[in-house]
Amino acid sequence: MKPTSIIFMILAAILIVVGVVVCIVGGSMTDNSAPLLCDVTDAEGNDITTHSLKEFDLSDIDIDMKNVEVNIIGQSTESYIEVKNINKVTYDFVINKHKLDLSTVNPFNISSMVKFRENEGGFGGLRHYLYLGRYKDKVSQVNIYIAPDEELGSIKIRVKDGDITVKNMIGNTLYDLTAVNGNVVYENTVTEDTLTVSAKKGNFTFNTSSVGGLDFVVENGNSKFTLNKQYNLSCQCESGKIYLDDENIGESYAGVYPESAAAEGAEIVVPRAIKGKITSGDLVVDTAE
Amino acid sequence: MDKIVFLATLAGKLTEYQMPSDAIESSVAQVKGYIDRVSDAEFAADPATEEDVAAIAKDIYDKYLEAKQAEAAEPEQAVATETTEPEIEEMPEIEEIPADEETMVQEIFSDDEPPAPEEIIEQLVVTEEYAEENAAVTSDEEFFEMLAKEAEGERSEKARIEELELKALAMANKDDPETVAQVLSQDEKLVEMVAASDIAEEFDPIETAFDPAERPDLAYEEAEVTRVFTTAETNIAPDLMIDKDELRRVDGDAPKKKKKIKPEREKVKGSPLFWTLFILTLPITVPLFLAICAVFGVLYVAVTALIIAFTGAMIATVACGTALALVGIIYGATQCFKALPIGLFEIGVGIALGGVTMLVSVLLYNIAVRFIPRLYKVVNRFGAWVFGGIGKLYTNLKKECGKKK
Repeated sequence: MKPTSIIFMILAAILIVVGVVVCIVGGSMTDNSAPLLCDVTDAEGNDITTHSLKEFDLSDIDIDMKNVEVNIIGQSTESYIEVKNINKVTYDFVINKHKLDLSTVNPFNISSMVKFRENEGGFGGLRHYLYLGRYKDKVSQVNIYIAPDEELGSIKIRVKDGDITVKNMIGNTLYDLTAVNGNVVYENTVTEDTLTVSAKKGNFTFNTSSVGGLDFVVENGNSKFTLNKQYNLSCQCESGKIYLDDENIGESYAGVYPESAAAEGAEIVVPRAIKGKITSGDLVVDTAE
Repeated sequence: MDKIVFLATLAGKLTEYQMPSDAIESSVAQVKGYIDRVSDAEFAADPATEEDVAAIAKDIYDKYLEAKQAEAAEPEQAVATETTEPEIEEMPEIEEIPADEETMVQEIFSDDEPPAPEEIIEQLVVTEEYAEENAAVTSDEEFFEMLAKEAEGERSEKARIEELELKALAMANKDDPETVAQVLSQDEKLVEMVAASDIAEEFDPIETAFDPAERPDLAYEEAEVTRVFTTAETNIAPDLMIDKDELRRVDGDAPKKKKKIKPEREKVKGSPLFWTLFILTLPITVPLFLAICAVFGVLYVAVTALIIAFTGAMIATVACGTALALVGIIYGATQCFKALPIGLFEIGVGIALGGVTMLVSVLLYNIAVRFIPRLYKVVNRFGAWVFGGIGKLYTNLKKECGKKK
């Protein structure tokens, strides 16, 4: 090795030391109210970053993420998105033409690194690359709070490893929920549009909700419906049983349920259809009190 | 004919020429000196015949006659030189150079026209022979006598100069102007005398007595120097050549090169058995040889690929590292106005990234340019070892086949 190389190596070592010292100085100036990697840190130590959705007048939400719990919560005072324990360089958040797109990206993909958005999504600094494994042992969540005045046309969620929860939503919204390895919970939600659910390895819970139509496929897991109105059921369990109010009726069922509601009704209402197929698991249908 | 018989025959032949006994003895002693340099085995390998001895005896007798004639002419020459150079009287008598050789030496070292290198080399061979001959002619006794005379002359000259200096100093102590003038004149004489006798430099009676063009020792030295500078351009015997690296080593700056000495391969003539075996085994040996060559080819390609890979990695590191470092510093600078801790942290990351980039790049560069090319040498050495081994194998096979014959 020539002296020139040795000189440059010494210079490089000096630069590294100076850089590390500056980083330590910058890091020591941060605290919980103004942390280094997020907007705020809560009492449990979760790093939380929020983005307001108020001004965008959202019509569609499209979420495609891995290893994240997604919660859509309606009837909130304000519309906003809360990202909890997720490194900023591992997801892409963009709102374009009233449509919110949220997706997990490869942090080392050059196209995702160079992303300058008008909103707050996009490049967030090199410091996030130093803490890529910071949230490995924590539960990552994306919570989207929707105010009653928001009129959403569709919500499409696809999660690879994690649960999907939709609750307290009111409006004519089309739902398309896919959980590859996780549970899907749909409760206290009213929509005149259809709900499509696909759970490959996990349970599906439909609780006291109203939908214009439901089409579900559960491959490995159980499904539990708590119906508060009459539906035309058409369900099949390939290796499981169907229980209607704790009564085992076999592997398939086709008919209106609850039947009592149909007999008593003064008005004749055409029941909405629920079609489903469970590959491996049981279907439990209860009537809400 | 061994050495003793040779010398006895030579003495007999010289006696036939009616040379004086002392001249015969000295001539035989000279010849003995010559043939003593050759071992008995070598002398016996190329024995001299009666005719050779007769020819040598005739040459010696001719030279003896020439020397006699020169001695006769010497008194006249001595008288002529006595008027200008009195020191010659003190000098020992040196055998006069034959006329033809003298003119030849003068021609070689005359400053009028620089001779062509080819001419110099031709003439050098003759000059060397002459120098050797002259050195052999002067016996040890004469040489020591000459040295003693030189020393005596030097001592007497120094004594005279010291005496004059003492006188001058003694007279200079007096304040008499005449004395001072006398001292000055004495000083001038002293300076003249010293200049005339070359004591100011180094007193050399031979130098003052003889023309440098006539001195064989100077001619030999000059010839040596000329030979060093002409051997590089001409094809002379390898033992006379001086390596250019050795000349450079005098400076001390040039790197020392190891001189590779190639071992001479023993040449063994192949027997019919060997050639038959060689041809019959060609279907096996040719693919084997090609496979070995292919292995070395793959090794060379692998080393080249490594160099290219490391160079590419270095370029990529420099490009990406520089870009990221700049992004970090610029983004940090912009963030400083929004949130100072984040801005400082980003600047720090940028600087550290610059350092890491530089460090990794220097390491990759040195690996690609300095360390990996050494693998070529390793492959070369391995190749030389393998192919040398194959060569030795065939040589041994040739020998063994030759023994079977």
